[in-house]
Amino acid sequence: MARDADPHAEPSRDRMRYRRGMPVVVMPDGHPWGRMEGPPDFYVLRLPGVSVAEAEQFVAPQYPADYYQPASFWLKGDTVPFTKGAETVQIPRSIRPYRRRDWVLQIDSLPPAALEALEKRGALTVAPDGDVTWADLKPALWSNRLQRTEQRNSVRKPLPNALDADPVKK
Amino acid sequence: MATTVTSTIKPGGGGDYSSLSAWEAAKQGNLVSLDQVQVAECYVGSDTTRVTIDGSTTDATRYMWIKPASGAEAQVPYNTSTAYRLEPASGTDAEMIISDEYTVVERIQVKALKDSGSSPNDGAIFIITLSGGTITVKGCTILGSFGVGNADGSKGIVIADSDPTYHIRNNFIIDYNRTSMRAFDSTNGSGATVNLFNNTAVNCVGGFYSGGTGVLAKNNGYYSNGLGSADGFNGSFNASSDYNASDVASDAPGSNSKNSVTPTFVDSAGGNWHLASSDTAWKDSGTDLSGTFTDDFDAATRSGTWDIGADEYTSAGGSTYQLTGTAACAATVSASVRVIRVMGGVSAAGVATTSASGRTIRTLGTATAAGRATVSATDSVQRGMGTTTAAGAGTASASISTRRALGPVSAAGVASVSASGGGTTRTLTATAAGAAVVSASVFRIRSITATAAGAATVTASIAKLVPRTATAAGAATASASIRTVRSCAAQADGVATTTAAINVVRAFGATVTGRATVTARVSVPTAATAVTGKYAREHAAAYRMVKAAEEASYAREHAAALRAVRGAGV
Repeated sequence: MARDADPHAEPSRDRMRYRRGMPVVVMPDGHPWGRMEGPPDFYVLRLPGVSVAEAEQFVAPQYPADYYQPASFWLKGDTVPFTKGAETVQIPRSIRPYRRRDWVLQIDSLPPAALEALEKRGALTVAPDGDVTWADLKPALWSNRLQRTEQRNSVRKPLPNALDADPVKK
Repeated sequence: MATTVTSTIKPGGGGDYSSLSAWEAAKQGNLVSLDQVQVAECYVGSDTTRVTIDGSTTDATRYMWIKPASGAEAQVPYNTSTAYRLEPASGTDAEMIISDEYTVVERIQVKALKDSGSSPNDGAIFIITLSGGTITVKGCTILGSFGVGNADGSKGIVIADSDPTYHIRNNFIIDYNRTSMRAFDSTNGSGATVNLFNNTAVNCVGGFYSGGTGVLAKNNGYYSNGLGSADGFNGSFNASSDYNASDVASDAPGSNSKNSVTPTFVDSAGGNWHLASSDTAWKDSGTDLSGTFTDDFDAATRSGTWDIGADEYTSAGGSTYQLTGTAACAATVSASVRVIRVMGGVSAAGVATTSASGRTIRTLGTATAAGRATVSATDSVQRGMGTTTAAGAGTASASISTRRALGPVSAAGVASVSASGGGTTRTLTATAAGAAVVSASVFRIRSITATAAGAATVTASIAKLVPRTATAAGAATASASIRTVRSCAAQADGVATTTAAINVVRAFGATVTGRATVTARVSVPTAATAVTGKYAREHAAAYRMVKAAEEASYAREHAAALRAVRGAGV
C-alpha cells in the first residue's frame, strides 16, 4: 500500500485500515496487474525467486496478543471467548485480526536508490542485481507483533538464499 | 444521493484491479464523508486472494458492494469457467471476512479449499461487525473442498457478532461434509436479527445453526445426502421460523416445515442442485416473502407458491410465459426453457431437430429448422435472442449466457453456425450459407455480424467489442480475435485468410481480396480505419507500416502497434 487509508473514528476499526507500506496481496511472477494497481495507491515489490507461499507470510494480519498463542487459537472446538466492551461472548475460533497487517514496509526508511525506483516506476525489484537487495530491505521491514524489523528477526525462517545473498560476494 | 463508484475486478488482468483484496485496500475510507457507494464488479476468473472488508466508515446509503459483472454470476454447479470465483489456495483463514457495516455481497462463487495445515478458521464468509448496521449475503455459491481432517469444523457462512441485521438469502452452500461442519452458523444470534431466507444446504453434515433466538429461518432447505451425524437445523431459532425442510426427522423448525423429505434435484451427482421438475419435497412448500425480496438464486422472479431453497423451480415456459413449438414431418422439437417471458416460435420441418434450452430469458426469438437441420439454443440469463434459423443440411446453435440480445443466427445449405458467448452482449448476428462454418465466441459485445457464403469459415472470438462485422465469401477464412474494440470489420473474398487479433482498439478494418493472407495483431492503438490503408490520427510509423501492407491499418499513438504488426509479418 502506498498511502494511508482514511482514518476510522472507532479505534478497533481504525487499526484495521491499511497504512502506508502495508503489503496487500501476493501474486506469482507475471501476474497481470490491474490498471489501478500502481501509484498512487500501490507500489509493486518484485521478489524474483521467492514463491507465493513464502511471500504470503508478509500479508498475514496481526492478531490480538491474547489469542495469538497457537495452543488457544487453533484448538478444536466451536467457540472461544471474545471480549467486546464489558461483555465476553463466545465466538467461533476465527479471531478478528487486531491490525490489518503484521508487517509494514517503512517506505521512507528505504535506501535512496530504492525510493527513487519507487518514485519513477512505482515498482521495486528485490534481488542481488535488482533495485535493492533483501539485506537492504530488511531494516525497513517492521513487524508490529514482534516489534522489531526483519533485520533483527530471528524467529521467522529466512527467505531463500537468492534474496539473502550478498551481491558483493558473487 | 451517494455517488456510485464502480471498479472492475478482473483476475486475469485488464481491469481496474486483479483481486478483490486490492480493490478493498484501495477503496476503503470514509465513504460517508465521500458520499460514495464503492462497487466491485467482478468478472470471470479465479481470484486467489483472501479479502477482508474492514476499516471503512459506512452507513445505509454509503457502503461496500461486491457483485458480479454480467456473465460472471454464481452458478450451480460451481462453475470454473464462466463465473467469478473467490478461491484462495488452501489455508486456515476465512476466504472473506466482512466487518464493514452495510456491506453487500451478492452472486459470487466462493470456494473454501482446506487440504493441509492446521485447523481452519471458521467460515468461507465470516462476518464479524462491531457497530450494528446491515450485512447482506445473497445469491452466492459457497463450495467446500476439504481434503483432510484438519478442516473439520469448517463452515460456509458464519455470523460471529450480535449487533447488526443480517440478510442471508438465496445461497447455495455445498459439500461441508466432514466432521462438525455446517453450512451456516450464527453463534451469537440472540442479539442479532438474522433473516435466513431461502438458502439451500446440500451434502453438508450440518445445515443451519442458531446460537440464539435471533435467527429467523424461513424457506431454507437442508439435504444431507445420507451423510452421517446429519443435523439440518440446530440451536434455538426465532419462534416465527417456519416453512423449512430437511431430510432428517424432527429437524426443521416451524409447524409448516417438512422433515424426513428428500428433494429431487436436476443432477445431484453432477452438482446441479436446482430443483427437478419431478420434485415434490421442496417445490411449492415455502411461504411468500415478497415483502422482503422476490428473486431467486438465478435472479429469476419467484412466483406462485414459493419453493424451499435458493432455487425457484419454473416449468418450461412458465405459467405466465409464452412458448410455441411446432414440428412437421420427421422432426424433433424440444424446448427446455426456464423462466422465460416470451419465447417465440420454434418450428422444424423435414428431418430436423430443434431444441432450445434456456434459463432466465426474457425473449427468445424464433428458431426454425428446415431440411436436415439442427437448431439449438442454450441460453442463460438472457434478455433477448433474435432469430435462429437452419435450412438445408445445416446446424445452427447458439450457446449464450447473460446477454441482452442474440441476433438472427441462420444456416442454409451445408452449414454450421454456432455462437457461444457470455456476458453483456447486446446484438449478435451470424449467418452461413452454402458450405460454411460460422462461429462466434463472444463476450461483452454490443453488435457483431458474421456472414459466410460458399466454402467459407468465419470465426469471431471477441471480447468487449462494440460493433463488428466479419464477412467471408468464396473459399475464405476470416477470423477475428478481438478484445475491447469499438469497431472492426474483416472481410475476405476469394481464397483469402484474414486474421485480426486485436487488443484495445477503437476502430480497425481489414479487407482482403484474392489469394492473400493478412494478419494484424494490434495492441492499444485507439483509432484506425483500414480498407485502403488510410488512417485516422497520429501514429506515422503505424501508418507507413500499414500502408506498405496495403491491407491493414490503424492509428493513433501506440508504438506497440507498429511493433506488433511488424512482428506479425505484415
